[in-house]
Amino acid sequence: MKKFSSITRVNSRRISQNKKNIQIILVTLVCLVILFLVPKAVNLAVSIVVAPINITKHWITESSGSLPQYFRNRSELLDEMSTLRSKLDSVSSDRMAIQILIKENKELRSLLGDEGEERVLAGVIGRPGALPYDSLMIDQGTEQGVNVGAPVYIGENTVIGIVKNATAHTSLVELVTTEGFKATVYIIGPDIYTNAVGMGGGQLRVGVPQGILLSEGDLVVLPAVTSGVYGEVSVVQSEPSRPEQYGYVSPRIPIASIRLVSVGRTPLHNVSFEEAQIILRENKTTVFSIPVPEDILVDTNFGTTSDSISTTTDLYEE
Amino acid sequence: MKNNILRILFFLILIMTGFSGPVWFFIIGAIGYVFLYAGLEILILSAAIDAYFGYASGEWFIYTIATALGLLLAQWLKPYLSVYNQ
Repeated sequence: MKKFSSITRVNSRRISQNKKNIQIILVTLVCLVILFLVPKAVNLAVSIVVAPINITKHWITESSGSLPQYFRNRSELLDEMSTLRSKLDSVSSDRMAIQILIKENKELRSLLGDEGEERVLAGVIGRPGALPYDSLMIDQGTEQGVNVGAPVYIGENTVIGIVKNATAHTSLVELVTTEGFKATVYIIGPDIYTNAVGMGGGQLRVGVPQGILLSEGDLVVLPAVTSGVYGEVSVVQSEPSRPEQYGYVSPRIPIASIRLVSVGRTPLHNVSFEEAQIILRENKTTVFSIPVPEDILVDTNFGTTSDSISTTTDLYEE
Repeated sequence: MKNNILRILFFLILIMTGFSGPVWFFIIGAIGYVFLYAGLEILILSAAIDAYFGYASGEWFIYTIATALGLLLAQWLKPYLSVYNQ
C-alpha cells in the first residue's frame, strides 16, 4: 500500500513537471512570435512602462535635490569632495584656473558643435556592462530634441553611436562597437579602406590581408559617419600561418569613462565614396596639424623665422 | 502570504535592475528567481528586456531564450535538488 502511494506521488509529480515544461515552452514561443511580428509595438509599450524607472533613476543619480543626494552613496560623495579639494589645491594661481575653464569651455563648445550643426548635450546614465546589450542610456529625449537615427558624438567629431530609441526624457544609443555592427573605415598609416565589425565592449575589429603593414597606433577614421578620427589600432593579431591579420580598434576616450555626449539634431545621411574622400582629405590635414605660432614654425613654404625646431604634417596635405 | 510578498518584491527588484542596471545583479537575481520560484513572469520580463534593448539590433532574443532554457533546466534539476521530497 505504502509502495503504491509512493509510485502514485512520483507519477503525479512527473505529470505536473511535464505540464510546467509545456507551459514554459508555450509562453516562450508566444513571446518570441510577438517579438518577431510586432517588435516596434512591444518596444513602444515597454518604453512607456520603463519611462518612470528611467526618470526615477535620473532623479536619484543626477538631481541636485536634497532627497536624492541623501540616497546617493555618501562615501562616493566624500571621495569626490576630497578629489576636488586636492585639485583645487593643485591649482596654484588664477591663471591656471582660467586655463582650465577655457579648456572646459572649448570642450563643451566642441561637444555642442559650435562651428557646425546644433547639438543636444546629454549625460550618460547607463553604460555597456551595466546595461543589457552594447548600448548607452542618455538623459535627454524627444522633448529636448533628440531624434531616432541621430548621431551621438564624443569630443568634437567622433561618432560613437546612433540613437536607437528615444522616449520623452531618455534615449538609448546603439554603439558602433555593438556586436555585428558593420562599418567602412579608413586606416591612416597603410592608407586603406576596409570593413570594421563591432566586437562589443567598445572594440571594433578590422581584418586585412597579411601583406599590409598594420601597426598599433594607426589612426582609424569612420568616413561614413564622422569627419573625425574614431580611434586607433590598439592590438594587432597576426599569425604568419593565416592569410589575414586583425586589428582591434578602440576609441580615444574609453566608453566606460564617458560622462557627457552630444547628440546631433538631424539623422545621418548616406555618404558617397567621393564625399568620404573629401572628408578624409580634411581629416588628414586637421588631425595631424597643430596651430604653431608663425614665429616658431620652421617651414620652407612660409620661411624660417626662429631657431626653434617644430614639425608639421604638411606632408599629408595634397 | 509572506512568501508572496517576498516574491513580488524580488520581481520588482529584477524589473528595476533589468532596465536600469547593473546587469550582473539582474542576471544573478534572475538565476535565483528561476530556481526559487520558477515563475513564468520572468520570461515576460526577459522578453520585455529584449524588446527594449535589443530592438532593431538584429540579434537573437538572447534573454528570452536563456531564461526559457534556465526555467527548463530548473524544472529538470528540481527533483535532484530537493532534499525533503520523500
